[in-house]
Amino acid sequence: MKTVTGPRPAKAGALLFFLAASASAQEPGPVGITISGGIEMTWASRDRVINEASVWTPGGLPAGNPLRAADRFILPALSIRFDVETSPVHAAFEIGNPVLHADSADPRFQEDRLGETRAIDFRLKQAWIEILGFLRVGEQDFVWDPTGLGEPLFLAPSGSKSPWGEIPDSTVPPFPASGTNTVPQTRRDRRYPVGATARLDEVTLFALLLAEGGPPSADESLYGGALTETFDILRASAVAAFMKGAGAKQEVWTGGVALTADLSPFVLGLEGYRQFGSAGVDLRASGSAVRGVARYADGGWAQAVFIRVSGDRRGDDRREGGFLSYEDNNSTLIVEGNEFGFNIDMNYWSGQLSAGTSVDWGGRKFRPRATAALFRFLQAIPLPPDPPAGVGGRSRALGTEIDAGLDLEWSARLTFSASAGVLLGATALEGFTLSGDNRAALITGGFRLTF
Amino acid sequence: MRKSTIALVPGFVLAIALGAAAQDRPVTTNKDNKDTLRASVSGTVNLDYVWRSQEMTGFTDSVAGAGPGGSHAENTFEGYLAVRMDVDLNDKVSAVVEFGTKRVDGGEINNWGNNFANLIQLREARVTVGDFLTQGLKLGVGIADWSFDVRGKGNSFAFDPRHSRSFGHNMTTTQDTAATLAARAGFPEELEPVGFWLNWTNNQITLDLVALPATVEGGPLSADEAIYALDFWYALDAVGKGSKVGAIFAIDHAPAVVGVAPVAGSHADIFTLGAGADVKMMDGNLELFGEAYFQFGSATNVPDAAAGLQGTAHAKGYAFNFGAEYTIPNNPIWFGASFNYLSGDKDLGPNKNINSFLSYGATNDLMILEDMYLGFDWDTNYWAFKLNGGFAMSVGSGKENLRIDGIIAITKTAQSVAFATTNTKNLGDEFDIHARWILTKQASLHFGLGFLFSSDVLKDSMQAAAGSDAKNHAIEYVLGADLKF
Repeated sequence: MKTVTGPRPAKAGALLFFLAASASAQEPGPVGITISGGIEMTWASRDRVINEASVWTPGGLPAGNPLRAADRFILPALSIRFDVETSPVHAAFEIGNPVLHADSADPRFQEDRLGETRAIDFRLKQAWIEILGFLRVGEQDFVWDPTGLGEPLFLAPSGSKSPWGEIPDSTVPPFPASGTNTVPQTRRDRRYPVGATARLDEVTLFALLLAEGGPPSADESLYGGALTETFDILRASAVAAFMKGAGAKQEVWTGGVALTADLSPFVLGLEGYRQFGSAGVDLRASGSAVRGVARYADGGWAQAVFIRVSGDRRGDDRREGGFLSYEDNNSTLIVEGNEFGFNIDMNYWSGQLSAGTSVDWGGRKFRPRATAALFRFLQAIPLPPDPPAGVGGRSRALGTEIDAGLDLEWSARLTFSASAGVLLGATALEGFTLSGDNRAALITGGFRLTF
Repeated sequence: MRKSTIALVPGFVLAIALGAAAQDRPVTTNKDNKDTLRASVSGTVNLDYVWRSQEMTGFTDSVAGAGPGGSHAENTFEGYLAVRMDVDLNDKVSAVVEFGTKRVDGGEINNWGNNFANLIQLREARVTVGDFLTQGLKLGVGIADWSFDVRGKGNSFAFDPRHSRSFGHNMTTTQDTAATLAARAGFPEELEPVGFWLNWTNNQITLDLVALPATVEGGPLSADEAIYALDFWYALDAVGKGSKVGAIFAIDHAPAVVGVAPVAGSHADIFTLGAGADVKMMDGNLELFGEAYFQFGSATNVPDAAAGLQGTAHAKGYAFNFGAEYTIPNNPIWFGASFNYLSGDKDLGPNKNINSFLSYGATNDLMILEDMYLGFDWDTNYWAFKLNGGFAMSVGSGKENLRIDGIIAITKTAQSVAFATTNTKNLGDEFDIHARWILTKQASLHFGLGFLFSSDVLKDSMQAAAGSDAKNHAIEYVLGADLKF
């Protein structure tokens, strides 16, 4: 289950628990407990280029490195959630295996795979208490998605890595040959936010701890508020957020606005963000991001997206130009996908065309979809000043990705999916693969059962 | 036997059903398991925001670093989740399985908010057989929740292994030193004592025979920690409802423990003889309680302060606790006083006596000095005189649903703690206030604030570890929520 910010989980099909008849007359009314959950298993075939380039080592990895091999595995995502409702309190907790950031401590490659010698761990994913219907305290998923695309560009820490890990560099060995943030980072990771959120009609307030560092100065945290107002066909949203990293002087403010016009069957959306403050010692934050969406949906659907997320110009100046975010944008399988792909989330622009439809056949619903996306780094990588050792030259060409997929809705609770993506003409990858590859491919297939 | 701390109020009967009528039918876990009479699910969510001053985090399990020199004041989220299933089967057999996260484990506080979310672990697992061999006799096997708790309020003075660390943790023949505070504060642990037990109840008499050979599994038998105990309770309802008197005889087989690791070659068989009474009078408005314990037995290869090993030593610890609490009739106002003493060791060098009282105590009256989850867990070699009081108010539609209480305590070590150039008994004085707002029968919010002051033991321990900026006071506060279902 990805988010709990919306409606509570559907109860149809859930196991219902009823209060025992022993409750005395003085006790409050019946307490409802709902158990819901999901079983998702995805078979993935990731080619050697994605694996090798995910490490972003200039010149690629040495011959014989196991990461230079193609990878096929089954990734499970299991969760069980309990919702307890006893007016005026609603509480929920969810346990499951961590799909992103598995137990390997290396967030680039999923290690919680089925069939390994060690059983998969279950961990606490959520545990919160909501009082009076608006104040939620505890460990909780948090997503702010003003355009409703389902691909939040700025605030989704429960599906995102920490942006602070990109300054100045990955903390996970093997380190890139360069010593600064001159290469992209691939970290398939997520946060487990703990703290308080409040939702009062159109206003959302949040104060969340995202990484426990001990003293407050060493914690990673997120504070802010968001406002959404609807004017006839227009919905306007604004957000102000303060992100604090665990390092010295990591205090970044972000202001953002989003506008959505519902001209059914057309929907137009635009969102933009700008950052201020300090991203580190003597490092001024100046990131920005903008995304425009035009969508037509009437049975079938078609969508055009333009996205631009700023990057840093150099790795050694006093300005951090990269947009620091807790994004969970996985619009494309390879470049943006954080489960199996590169999880590129800054220093790029992209134009994307997508389309899909729904076909009833044999009493089942088939939902084919396809996406074509052009990607380009805004700043050629590796960034200055590091000499591109082993790299023929710097490049902006991130290539063109074509994805296609099919969802088979077997029932209201069971869906089978298959997807394939190919990245072509990604010249920028040539500097990070030993063989100078500029193509990558990914195939996934699986099912998802919810109850 | 004490009931588990996981409340079963109210129990929820598992019913895959769409109407109340389904509750009238026997419930089966599936169609093939017709012997299942009842399955109930309950659970607890506890989450605290905890702020500890730097003087505390230097000794508790600091996130930032060990020792006062590397620590800072810290704010952390701590707590646990527990989901429990109670299953009743035919033939008076029942089982309990509880899983969830642990608040403390293996000497560490499991704080929240990390990208490695807290691990789901087994918390409880046991099977009990009612009317075993004879009526009123119950057999239990598995992780035991047994304790010897005179007041029955969940803070057993001497025997609650489920909420305590190793018995051998304080096993030494020398006096406490500059390293003692860190040793006690830095190793919180909930043991999982495994074995079997018999409980026999007949009218006013309750007998427990407990055999927990795997209280701490150490591999070979000599390295295991084990408890064997016999206790009885006699209900004194004629004096006042809920009154009781009881006694215990326990054998603890344990190696000495430094941190969480048993000391190789050490081995002890410590006998504890104790008794206690809890008398409620004046329609329950006046409660008098008291308990006392004496230890004998011997240990070999107990480590001394210089980390060497020595020969056979004899246990000579003792402890007692007594007090009273009075509630004004028909008014939600109460106040009380108590005194507890746990012997310590005064010997400068290793000798033949273990004078400190060794226990599985879970005393938590004082947030900073005594509480294992929040504070230093100083659990032997001290005495404390405590005055407490509180009142309840009605907030909103609830009745007496806001409880506010406070406690002030004067504490000293029973024997001096030795530092490089000084000796001191000033463990410190503590003042705590607590408030609990009961929102519903299932949910509550709570707040706690603790001050420790005049603690030369704290100051000198900081001085010894950090060399500067030592203080004799510490502050802690907690803001949290509880849910039981």
